[in-house]
Amino acid sequence: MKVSLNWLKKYVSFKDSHQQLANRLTMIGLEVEEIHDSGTDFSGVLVGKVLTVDKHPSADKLSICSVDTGDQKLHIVCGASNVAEGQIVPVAPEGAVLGGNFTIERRTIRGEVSEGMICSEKELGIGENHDGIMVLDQNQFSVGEIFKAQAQDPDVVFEVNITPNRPDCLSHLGIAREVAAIYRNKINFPEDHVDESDSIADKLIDIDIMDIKACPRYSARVVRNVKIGPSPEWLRELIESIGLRSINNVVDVTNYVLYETGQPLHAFDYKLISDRKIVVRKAKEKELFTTLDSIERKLNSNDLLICDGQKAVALAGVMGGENSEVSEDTTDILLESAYFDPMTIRKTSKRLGLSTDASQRFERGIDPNGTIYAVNRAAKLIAECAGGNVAKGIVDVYPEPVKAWQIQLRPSRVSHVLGIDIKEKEISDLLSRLDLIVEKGDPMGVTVPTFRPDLRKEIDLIEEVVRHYGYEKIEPNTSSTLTLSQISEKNDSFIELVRDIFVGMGFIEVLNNSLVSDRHVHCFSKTSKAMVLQNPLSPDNMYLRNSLLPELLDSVQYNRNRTQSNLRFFEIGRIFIPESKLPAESVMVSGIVTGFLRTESFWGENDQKINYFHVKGFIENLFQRLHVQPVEFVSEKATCFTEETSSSVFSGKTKFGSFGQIQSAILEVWDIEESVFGFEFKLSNLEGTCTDRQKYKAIPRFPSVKRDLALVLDNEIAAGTLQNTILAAGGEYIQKADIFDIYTGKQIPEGKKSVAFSLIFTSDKRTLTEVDIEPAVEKIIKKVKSDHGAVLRS
Amino acid sequence: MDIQENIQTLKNEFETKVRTVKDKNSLEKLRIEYMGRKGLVADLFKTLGQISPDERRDAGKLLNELKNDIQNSLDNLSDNYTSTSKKRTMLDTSLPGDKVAIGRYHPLTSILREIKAIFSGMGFVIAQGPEVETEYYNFEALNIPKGHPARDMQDTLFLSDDVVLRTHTSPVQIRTMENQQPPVRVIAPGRCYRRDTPDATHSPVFHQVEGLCVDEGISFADLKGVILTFAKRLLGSDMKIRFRPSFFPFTEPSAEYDFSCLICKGKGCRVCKDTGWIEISGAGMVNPAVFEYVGYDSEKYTGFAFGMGVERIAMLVYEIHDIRMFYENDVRFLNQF
Repeated sequence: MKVSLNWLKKYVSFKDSHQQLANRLTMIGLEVEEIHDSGTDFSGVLVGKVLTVDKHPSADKLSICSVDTGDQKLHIVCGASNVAEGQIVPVAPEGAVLGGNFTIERRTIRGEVSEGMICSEKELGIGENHDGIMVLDQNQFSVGEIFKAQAQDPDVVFEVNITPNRPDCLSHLGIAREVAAIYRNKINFPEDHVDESDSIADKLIDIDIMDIKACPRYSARVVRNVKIGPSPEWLRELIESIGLRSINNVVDVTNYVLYETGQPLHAFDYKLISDRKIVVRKAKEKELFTTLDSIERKLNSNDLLICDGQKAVALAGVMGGENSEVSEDTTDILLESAYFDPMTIRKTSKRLGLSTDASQRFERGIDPNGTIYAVNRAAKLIAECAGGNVAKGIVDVYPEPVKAWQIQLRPSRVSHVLGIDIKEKEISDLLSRLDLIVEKGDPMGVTVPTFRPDLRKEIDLIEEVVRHYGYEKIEPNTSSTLTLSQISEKNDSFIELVRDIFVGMGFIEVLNNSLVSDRHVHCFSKTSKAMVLQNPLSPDNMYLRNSLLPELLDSVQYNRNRTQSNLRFFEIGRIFIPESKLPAESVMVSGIVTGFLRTESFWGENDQKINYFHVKGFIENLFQRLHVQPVEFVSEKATCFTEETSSSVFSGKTKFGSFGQIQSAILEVWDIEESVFGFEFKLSNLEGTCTDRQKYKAIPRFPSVKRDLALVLDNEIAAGTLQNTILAAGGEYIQKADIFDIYTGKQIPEGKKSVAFSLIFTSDKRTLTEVDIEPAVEKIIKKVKSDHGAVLRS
Repeated sequence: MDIQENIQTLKNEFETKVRTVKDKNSLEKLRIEYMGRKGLVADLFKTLGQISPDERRDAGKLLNELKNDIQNSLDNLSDNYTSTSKKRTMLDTSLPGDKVAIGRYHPLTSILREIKAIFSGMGFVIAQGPEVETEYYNFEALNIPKGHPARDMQDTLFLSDDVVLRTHTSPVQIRTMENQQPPVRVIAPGRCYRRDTPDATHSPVFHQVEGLCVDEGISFADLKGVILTFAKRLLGSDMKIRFRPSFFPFTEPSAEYDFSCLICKGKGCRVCKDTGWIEISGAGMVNPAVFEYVGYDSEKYTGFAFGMGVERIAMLVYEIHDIRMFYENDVRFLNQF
């Protein structure tokens, strides 16, 4: 909310500067986000020195200046005739704001780039002088500092962020109450005495509330014989100071009183109210009503309408109707000052997307006992500003008056929650300053006025105490009486381990948005399921990702477009698969690899293009390092990998995920022409089988014996199966059977290949000899022959 | 003949012969002739036994000199014959090394690890919850009932009428308290989502760290102590903190907390808009209404909760001015960390 200090000073005095006041307000929870000095309504303006002035090559009246602003030199095109070398001047660089909302940008003026603006007094809003740039006294300003200046008789306007629990502070009197509490002052409430005429309001208008829950109170006054016209100067100035547009004297008064008291008011043209009657009722389903912004709105049965004897005249608490609006011809006014149910107003405002000064206050909850003061203020001011006679009396329907309520407060609880030592007297003093009535005792009885709907419980009062006691006065407690948690989070450290492993293998970690497009969730399979957002920001972000790979392809494309190559990315993040009400969320680790094995070139030898076995090596390393052993690699068709390379990784029946070379048809969608390998593994599956703590196994005390074995067999037989056979047939001493060479060509018959194994035999009891090894090798040779038709290479 | 003369003769002969050496083989022959076990030098050493001790001392000295001279000139020659190939293989150490690919942690990961380490040092353990939440956990149990104006404080992305993408990590507070009795001391890092149009300071996806501490006798002073310790450990012991009143339905009293500006150390500069303070996030004492939702005794227990934006802290620490850079994954950005 905008708060004018000139306005505020009508109600409360304070001796601090406006900066100090802003700080005090911020420190009691009324955060001053911006300060507009009506004289100096600019920000980001620096003091600069004109270093050089040259003629613009293509415009006689423009100069090109080089201006030093301390940490940089700006190139500025200037149109002022008085600009000269050596001047100290106010400079608005890129990003500076003038006139409250005009942001300076870098732009090109007749072919020359201008990186800012040298300002005149008028442009800064300090004075009227617009003849040339403002030249500063070099004794008072130093280059590079933030330029500050003061106009005469300024008003200062604060932009205050009012939290939703404080509807009472959406008014100048509400802010004044807090200011008075800070400085221990009294509020000077403005006069609400109304000089009334003889005509009796009760006879001029009849009020009938059909829904007392939605409208607990409706108060009204009638003012006759007004003359609609422009507002007096003082009213116009205050209204405009907080950014409102002055419309006419009557409308301005209702707005003024709204910003003064927080009570929204509405002025009807009394003559357009049929049957001298106001009826407050719920709308019918699909009832149409045209609000005064000339938009026809379709209502439902939650919406509350203000009607006359014939028709609806206002959408209660939100906006008046076009059909009863005050116009130049209006002479008689019906002033509405009502209290509406917050939830009712909020639903209507939300549904229609129509948020007004009135609705914002009603939906947060105004003071039900404040309607009379406000309607009196408005009637009095209308009479003053627009002439007219105020009819005698207020028509006030308020069947169930809301009374102030009492809350019990234990002083000891205040100290307990805040960790301070505060006495009953100080608590009582702090609360009294906020117009709460405190009865001594333990517990204390605290009576809360009806303008503070946010105070309902003891804890609410504790917050009120500390707000004005001062958060800054609570001494941080850095001594610890730690109660040690007995639970540790294994999952998180496992994820961090996986991250370490990939970084160790030269992968760069990326993070992508979890919200993706249709293309992303369906690029591998048109039938993939994904969660859809009801209200996405854009179609590009309407799904929750069901795989991390598509966005990794985004990252490849993004970097390739910026001529970056040899990409090796991984991401750890969640994917979302529709399940029941909530999706299944799984943490995945995925990655992509492109280009060469060396990510940086080396002068010494040629590099290898990344191939299937490099990627398989990364995967094998991962599982080995995680101690997930043994794992099985199974050729298995996946929707995104080429048939030849598509591989899945299993341990027993648990599938961890798959990897392979991404199909070129998919890469085409991303305009990627080189080969890309990808992988995706489910970390929760991995974590389950990962034995994070290994038991030590004794290191062999006796030397091992190595024996090479070259076998010739059919091309179709997988070397891996042969390896398994060897290990199974090799007896008690065999440790390893590593493949070290595959050969086809001369000497080997057509359709056959030679696979060379290096066999390692070890015993933990003694050094092995030929006598131990020979029978084992014999057995192996026999077995591979019978099982696979493999023979010893001659 | 005088032994000293013999030494001189041998020396002269060697110097003549050594000039005739043309290759490795002739060098080797010469070496054997003079320096071999039965070579000429060894023969001369044998004759030392036949002379008087005085003479022997002088002659021995000369003979040793001769032996060294011969050995040196043989060695030098030997170098000549092998030196051509040696020169070719001399290392040009100015050439760059063969670098194994080096991986990088995302800057958000790095800063999050620092945050986790600091809080685990203060006895906090890590808790987690789903990113897709029911409206109950994201709002209602946090004392934000339907129709409450506080729901407007965060623009929410919906999957259905009562399923949302969590707008903060606070629902993990509820899930944690539902599953355990006090004492509770957890942090919950994770992704959050809001319906914010991306710009330099907003991203629809972002990371928060939630903190929750519940026990008997926990007070606002403890909250300030934990945040102060965190600020100092993360950013240096000269850091100051500022708490000011605010409003969150799930904490009361509620606060916004600020750190003293990292750039100007509180003096006032453009980064902190001359205030000397940088806004970090929200915190407060757990609202007793929240304890009622999870069945904690709100008379017996008190607690505090706080949040923080991971991107916000990373931006301050690494001096990054646009939040979108974290999700662009430009290697020229990632390789800087």
